[in-house]
Amino acid sequence: MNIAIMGAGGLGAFYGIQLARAGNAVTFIARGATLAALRTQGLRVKSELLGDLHLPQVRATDIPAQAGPAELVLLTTKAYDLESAARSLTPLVNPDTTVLPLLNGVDIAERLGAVLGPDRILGGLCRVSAAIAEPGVITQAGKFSNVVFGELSGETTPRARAVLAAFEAAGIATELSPHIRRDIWTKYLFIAAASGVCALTSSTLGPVLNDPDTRALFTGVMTEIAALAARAGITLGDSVVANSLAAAQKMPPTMKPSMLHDLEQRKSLEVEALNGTAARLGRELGVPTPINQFIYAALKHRAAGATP
Amino acid sequence: MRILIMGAGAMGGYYGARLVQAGHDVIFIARGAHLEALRTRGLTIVRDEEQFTLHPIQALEDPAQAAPGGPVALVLFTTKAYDLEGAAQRLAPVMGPQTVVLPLLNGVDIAERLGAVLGMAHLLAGLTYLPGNVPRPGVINQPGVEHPLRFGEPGGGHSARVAFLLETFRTARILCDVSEDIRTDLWTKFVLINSTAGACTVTRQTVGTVAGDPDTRALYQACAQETAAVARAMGIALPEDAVEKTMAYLDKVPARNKPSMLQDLERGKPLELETLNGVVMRLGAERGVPTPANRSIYAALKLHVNGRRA
Repeated sequence: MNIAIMGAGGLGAFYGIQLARAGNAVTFIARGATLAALRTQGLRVKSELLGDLHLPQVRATDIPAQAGPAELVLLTTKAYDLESAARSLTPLVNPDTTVLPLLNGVDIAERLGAVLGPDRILGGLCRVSAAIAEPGVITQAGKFSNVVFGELSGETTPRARAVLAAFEAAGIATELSPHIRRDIWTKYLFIAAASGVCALTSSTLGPVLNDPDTRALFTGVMTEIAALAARAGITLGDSVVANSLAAAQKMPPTMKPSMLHDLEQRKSLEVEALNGTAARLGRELGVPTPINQFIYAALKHRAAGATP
Repeated sequence: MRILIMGAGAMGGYYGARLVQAGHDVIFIARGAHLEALRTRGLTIVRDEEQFTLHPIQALEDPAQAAPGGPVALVLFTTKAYDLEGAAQRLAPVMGPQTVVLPLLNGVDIAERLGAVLGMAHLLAGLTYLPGNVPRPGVINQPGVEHPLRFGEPGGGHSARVAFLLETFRTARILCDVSEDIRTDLWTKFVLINSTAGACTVTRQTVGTVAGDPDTRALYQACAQETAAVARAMGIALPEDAVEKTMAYLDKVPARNKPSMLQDLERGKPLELETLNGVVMRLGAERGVPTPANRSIYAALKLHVNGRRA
């Protein structure tokens, strides 16, 4: 399969190297130091799951048109430059190109569809912790790396089966879901709470969950998002908040969600895609989302990564 | 008059210096490098139009060290607002039957909390808008215009001891006035202080940035409205336009201003969160007034309240 990977960060590199080693024609779209490193040294992945991998010959470009025409575009950029990433993809998509976004956020498919046309967009998410260690080198931590995706309509289509087959052949734990919208909302509910509250409080997960006041913010974020999902016609189930809290409590107390990590590194924050989106959808759908709005207001001036 | 300055920072140091100049027997309580500098080099006050050094002065670490000289007539209480009860307990050795304690720190329950330890009869209540900082140990910088130190009986009204103190301060060239309703004055100032501290600290932004963005401005406004609602529920006769004035303040002060709670957070110091947004949350809960913005700010910052993280 001809695969273009937009965003050769932790996620893109981790899945890309597996797809390339399985014989797919994978092109990484990257920039700057990462692009230079991929061209000269190839791609290295240091993975808790897979061990050390090295792909010496990497097809990498900073010109998306050179990566096409692609049958599949795997979109793994950060959510804050989604529209510009989508616009830059137009040269490499043709009528048969499928776009699978794996980034955090609940309206990613809709935002991509608005730029690239809704018919080519799948819904997707992944559960993996991977980050750039240095240009051309990424590290993956933890025991999870699975991908969940599906047609937004819930149908099982030939193109979805083809993507599943390619991922499975590459050894990636992949699930073709008949309710990917619900899956995305469920993950979003958790990530918005974990990333939002940990970044807000500059704290790892453990102290946030141990303190009754910060835990109330955590469950508040989730409760608001469950109400948003319900208003949007997505049924997450009565116990989604309790289940997500229980899942969080089983995680290591030292866990740093990605937005806290980005905050500490003074990188751009995904707060717009996480709590900012919940606040905006709350206004649009008439659902009160004061805690998401509060977190958004508290973090938005640091979202550009400019201030310490 | 024998006076103890509990906390010889920018405020306590300046008022203490004026009282020394007026011939009073003033004991400064300080800690660490600042205490060491006060002992070895004295106290230097730098203002726009004048600079002077008082040396030697009486500088001690603990009020108990002043006990052999007998009780003090006045305690100016100018520490930070964390561990108020602990600081009050340390005053016990210099308290006599007539000792008056005048706290000048921000907050709406300061006199009550100190009174619970020391006996309410000793307490006056006061506030000041004195800007200033301690640029290096032993040196106090007092830029800008001096606003009056305002004080009065915590329960309102007038008294002979208040009149006497007014005269004492005026003789010492301390700009001051007396309030017959100091609680209302404290709450009026508190609406502003609490909103500024909360919104700027939780966002890590200056007043100008908070003012210039609709989301952070709304957060500041919610904080002010909740604080005013709690005040009114407590029977405080807050001015009708207290919230409007608080909003107008945002656009009036220098955009680069950072409230002290934000400065403390940036330096990894303890936060005065319990006497700011925390107290609004608690008093609101007692009176059935919803305070979601203050509660959220409190929760967002409480893991830093002891300053263990930067």
